[in-house]
Amino acid sequence: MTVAPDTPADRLARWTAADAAIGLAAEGEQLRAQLAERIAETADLRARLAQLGNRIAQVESENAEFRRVASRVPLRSFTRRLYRKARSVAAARRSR
Amino acid sequence: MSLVSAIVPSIGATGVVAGKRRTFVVQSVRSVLATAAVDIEVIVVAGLEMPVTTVDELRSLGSQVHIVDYHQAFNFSAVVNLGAAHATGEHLLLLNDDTEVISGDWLTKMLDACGPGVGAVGAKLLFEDGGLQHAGHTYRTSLDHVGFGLPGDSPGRRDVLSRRREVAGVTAACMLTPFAVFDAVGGFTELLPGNYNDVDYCMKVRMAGWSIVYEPAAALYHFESQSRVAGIHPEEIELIQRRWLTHLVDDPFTPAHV
Repeated sequence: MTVAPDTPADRLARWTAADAAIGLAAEGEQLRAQLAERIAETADLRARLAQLGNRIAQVESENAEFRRVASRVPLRSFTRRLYRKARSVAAARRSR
Repeated sequence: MSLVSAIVPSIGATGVVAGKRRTFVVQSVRSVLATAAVDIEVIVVAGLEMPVTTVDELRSLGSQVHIVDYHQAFNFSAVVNLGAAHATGEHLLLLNDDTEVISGDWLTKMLDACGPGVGAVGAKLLFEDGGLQHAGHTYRTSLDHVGFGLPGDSPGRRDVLSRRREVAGVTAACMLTPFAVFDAVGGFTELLPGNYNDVDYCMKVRMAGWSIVYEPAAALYHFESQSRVAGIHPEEIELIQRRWLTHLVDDPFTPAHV
């Protein structure tokens, strides 16, 4: 059995179809590569978000400790004594 | 040795080279026939603009010269495909009409470089003043010619301009490719009518597993853009990136500074 040689029109039609198929496959591969890149970027952003979340928790915990220490200082009696002393010094100066 | 089918797109443009007016395609085909040293047929794909006198002159060059008429709007890829559709050779030689052979054994060197596993071979192309126009493509930072504008005899860094080597791609201004490879990858994409169709072809060939080779022993003059003014359209850049972007930026063949 002999195969008839293909005509120029046969060849052109075959090449148009082959190029379209190869082009679509190439574009698909590029889209998949782009998607993989974006997924990696999302994962990176999530990791950075988690890091920031940890840092916020750490700072808040430190703030709580600051608050606890600060509350131990008897601020009202201390200032009352300070004002009393200042008033007596001022009165002494006036009477001179 | 196998038959080579040279495909020469042309509108029969004329220009001045070395102070003399010439019809590019006639001089190009004449130089090919004088130096080929292998069985060759020349298929000139003639645009409507080609003068009848030029057609007659081409026919007078020999029985190996065939004229195929192209009567549509300019599309380089369609022109190349039409020529290839009429080819009977085992190898296709895509050749711009504004070229002229310099080295006598150019075609045998290109055939020699086109061994098993090779999908396309490119030549060294020089401007009229001897400056380098093409020594293979590089796609790392832009779609460009390696060593463009250097003196034609410059070896380049690591001799990249003066030795046969694998490259990312070669220009269709002078490209030898086995017909079987052309057939397998669907020829030139007609979606790129003016620019980057050779880049796309080389990428299709490489992705199918063949390599692209630059052969500096094959040297030709390329009086580029004297027969057609090139202009790059945004949609051509968009298409080439849509198909090949990640592969284009990953050019493993050319050192960063030639």
